Amino acid sequence: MALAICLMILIGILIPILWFTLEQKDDDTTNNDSSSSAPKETDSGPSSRLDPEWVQSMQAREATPFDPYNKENPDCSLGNYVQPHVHLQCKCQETITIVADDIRELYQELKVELLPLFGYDGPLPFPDITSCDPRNTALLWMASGTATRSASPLLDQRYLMAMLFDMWEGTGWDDNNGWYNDALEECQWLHVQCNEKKEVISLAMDATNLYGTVRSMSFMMRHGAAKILKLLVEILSHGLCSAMIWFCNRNSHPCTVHIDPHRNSVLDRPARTLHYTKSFGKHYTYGTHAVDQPRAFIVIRQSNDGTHTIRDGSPYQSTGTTAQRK
Amino acid sequence: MAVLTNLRGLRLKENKLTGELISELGLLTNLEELTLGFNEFIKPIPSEIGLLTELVTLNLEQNRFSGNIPTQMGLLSNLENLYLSKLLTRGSIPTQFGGLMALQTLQLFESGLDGKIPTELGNAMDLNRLDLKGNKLSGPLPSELGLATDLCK
Repeated sequence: MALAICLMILIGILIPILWFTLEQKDDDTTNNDSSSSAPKETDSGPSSRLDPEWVQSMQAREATPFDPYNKENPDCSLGNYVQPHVHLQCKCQETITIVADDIRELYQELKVELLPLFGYDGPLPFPDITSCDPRNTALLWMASGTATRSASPLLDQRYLMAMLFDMWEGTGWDDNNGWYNDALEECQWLHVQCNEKKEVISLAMDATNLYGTVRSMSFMMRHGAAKILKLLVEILSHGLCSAMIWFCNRNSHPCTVHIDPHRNSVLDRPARTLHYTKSFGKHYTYGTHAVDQPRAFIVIRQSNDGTHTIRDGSPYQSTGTTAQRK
Repeated sequence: MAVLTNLRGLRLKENKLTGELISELGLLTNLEELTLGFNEFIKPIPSEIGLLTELVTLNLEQNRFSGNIPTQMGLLSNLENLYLSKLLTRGSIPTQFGGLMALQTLQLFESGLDGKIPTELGNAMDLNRLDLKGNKLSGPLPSELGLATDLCK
């Protein structure tokens, strides 16, 4: 029985994380009403992460293709090429100086559209167009030839896969068949497996001679994702209530916790399911659904000065007490 | 890796990957197999690993992970195969491993562990491969392990 309850909690938490990860952008733009704590439950996942019309217009375009890169015998007389491959330019001169105008134009458009998906909302800490950083080389590749056109609608996924190749030194892999080939979907690249929606579901790259770190992927995360993950770990480890207080205590600002005494006991023991309900900007709302109790909701609110407020956001009258930490 | 949240398998065994495992790995909540063995990862294993509750196989063996084994790993109630051998970890086997109810294989050899073998391991009724050699574990082998009737010592 305990196991069943545990499983329910965990399943309840998985869907919300996923949802949060993919939907935050939408939330930021569509809902600024931080006071509406009543949760909207939704089971439908995101169908597309980018505006389909934009994707279509992007895929209708074609730019100057990169000339093939001969890894074994690189010819560093770059003047012999129409558009030297990014890998060749980086290999020969550790910088990218030759970029056709049409590639440059598509590059700028892609950059603007793709990067918010990876969590940037301010000035982009993004390398210069001359940089051999994988974030840049992959994007340049996306903007060249038919690299974008032949992709599935998941342009961000294609960008990420190209970036993985560069981050893990793909040109040196034992077998990199298909990778960085703009005529192939990323699902057709060696070691990659996709589902019917063309989403990558498996990367099997044992003993492939990968170099590098996974640390370098962290820039792709949404702002705040790490913090939320820490919170979720706390919830799973110590129960919701103590996790909230822990979250509060981690912040040097004053923090208020409102807990309904009638539901305190509910919150003190692991809730049966945990629904992540809504995020708008810096407001995170969590709801719990106890086994045999009405729903109870907790709101963590971060104001402009960095203050976090965690409160019971139950959709019905609360008669709660207030515990305040200075 | 936000856009790879559909990932069910990530097999990167026997490469030369290094650095620490980022906590954001916890976003890949659909992972059923995570195989990172035989690389050069360092630093403690992030506690966010406990969020990957769909995991059936977790292989981190033969790396240079240090610190304690995160107790949150005990949240992986679907985990059947856990490989944590030959790490630079220390401390004891978390009692929270009692939450690994589906465990069939547990390899922890030569991972610098001490303390007692938690009786909670007996919760894993299907445990049939348990390798703890080359550690500094003390005390008796818990009788609860006897409940795991398939266990070949």
